[in-house]
Amino acid sequence: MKLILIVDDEVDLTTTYSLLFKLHGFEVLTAANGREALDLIATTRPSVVLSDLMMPVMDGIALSRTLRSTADTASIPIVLMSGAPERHQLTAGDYDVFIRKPVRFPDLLQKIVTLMDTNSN
Amino acid sequence: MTDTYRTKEAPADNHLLRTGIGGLDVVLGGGLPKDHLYLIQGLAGSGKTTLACQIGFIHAKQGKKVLVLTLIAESHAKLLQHLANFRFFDESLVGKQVLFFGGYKALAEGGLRELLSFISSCLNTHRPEIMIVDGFRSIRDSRPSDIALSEFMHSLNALVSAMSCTAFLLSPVEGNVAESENTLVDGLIELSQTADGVRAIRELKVFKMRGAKHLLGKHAFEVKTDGLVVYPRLEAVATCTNRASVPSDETVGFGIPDLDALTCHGLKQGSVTNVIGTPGAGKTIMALHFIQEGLRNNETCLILGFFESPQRLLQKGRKVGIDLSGPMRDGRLEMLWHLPLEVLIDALATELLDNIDRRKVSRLVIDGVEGFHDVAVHEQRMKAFLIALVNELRARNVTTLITQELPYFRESYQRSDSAESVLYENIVLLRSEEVNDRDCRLLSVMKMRESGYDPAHQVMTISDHGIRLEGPVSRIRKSRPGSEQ
Repeated sequence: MKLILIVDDEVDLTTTYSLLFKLHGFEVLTAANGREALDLIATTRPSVVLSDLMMPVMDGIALSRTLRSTADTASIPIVLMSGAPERHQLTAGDYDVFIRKPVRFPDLLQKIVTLMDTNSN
Repeated sequence: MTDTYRTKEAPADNHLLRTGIGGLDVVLGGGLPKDHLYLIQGLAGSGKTTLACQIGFIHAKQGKKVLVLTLIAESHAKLLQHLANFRFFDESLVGKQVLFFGGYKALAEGGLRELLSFISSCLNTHRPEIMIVDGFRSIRDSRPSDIALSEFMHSLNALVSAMSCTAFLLSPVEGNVAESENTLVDGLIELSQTADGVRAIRELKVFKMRGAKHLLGKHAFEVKTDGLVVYPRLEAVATCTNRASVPSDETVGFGIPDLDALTCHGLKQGSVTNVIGTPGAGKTIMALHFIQEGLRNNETCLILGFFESPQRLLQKGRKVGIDLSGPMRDGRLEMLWHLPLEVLIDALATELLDNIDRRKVSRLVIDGVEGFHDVAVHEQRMKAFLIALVNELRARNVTTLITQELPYFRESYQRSDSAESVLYENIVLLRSEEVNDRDCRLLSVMKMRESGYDPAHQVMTISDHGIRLEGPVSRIRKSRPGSEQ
């Protein structure tokens, strides 16, 4: 089962990506911030997390560092997105793939599929 | 249509989708930013579907995929039948590069969520570069809540951006109202018709266009067999391009030796001369001399006229020894003739400047500037229009002669503060006056901006050999009656 957790406070983006990932055989969960994402992950383990950086309540960096610091979730592949990465102090360990917004969906899909294949190997 | 108008600061090409529609890309500031969502609105019959499909077929012919999604219950056969009337339509592309789908069922059965899902599926499967959604009214008729419609518009915008698709929604309304579909799109274009008496003028207006420097205000367009042709408002384009002319020291002749002698060998190259005169005073014949002189100097020439057909002009010229039929046959001279009736003034300007650019015209006659006034829908534009036109001609270094008619009966000619006089470097006045008990044609050089001239009023005659100046009227008056020709 390919389950993707999309974390973004922009509803139109999560709606759009949900529709598109479902068309490619993914099951989709969505969350509006890092806190909601952690609550979902506590009960359902996603195959990959796709998260925006700038979000209220808990941003993408805090989410990814929390996941990385916990044994159960450290191996979940993380894709971070942002339109302005220079505003954040990202380190290499925070993510597996970084994508600059705006991104074409086919390119995003390709990166996620490649990441999941690599992770499963 | 050649790329007559080039805007000054067009954004980088790879971010813009050029519509390919004559004049429209100029109005848009170069084209439409790609992967955005646009609303094309206008009442029934305004040309929305034609405009959108014309853009679609132009790009389909370039190998791009175009998706046409209709939200009306009618079959696509009627739409195809309508499009088949236009030259841009290519039946062989239908079903291959241009795909037609019906979204009405998804909307009717599942509302906006189902429609969005359907659109996502279409975009994902077919990956079109352009999508046209015809029938936005059906979305409104499904009576969504304001929030639901806003969410739909937001999601649709995100969807087309994510899928690298430039999308057009077609809506049968007018006006820039604060509805979701107007505020949440990246661009809003309206097609409308303005009444001018019993006549209707089609006009296009760009209300907004994010990421592009478009021309404001209304621009006339026509729907022809080729599809839509847009005529950008000349003064709006000229304001943007702000082309400057480089004054020339070269002199070119009127083609009338006596007049060239009065004006220190003629006109400055690239200058604009106004020949004003009463009916029958000889303005057109002077203009024909001017053209003949250009042809003698191997210049490419053009005449724009409103009142006398090309055949009549040729005949008029032959009567005074000016034969222009050869240059007409070999293309050194062209005549554009339009009756001053239901003609679009910006279409005239476009045709004129296109011809000048294409043929590299260096000598132009506009026979009857009042023709422009007669066809202008918005008379208040005329000053700005003429300023823009004259500037475009100067920037192209076209030596121009513009004739203008004065009223036939008037006690005296009063100089006015008319702003139009500042348009012209040179002004020549022709009129009839009584000299020694008979009507004589008189010529006066009123103004030569960059050279000297003899200001004396001259007696002018027209014979089988053309125009001649017989000398100052003061000298003729002193001679015996009947001595002049």
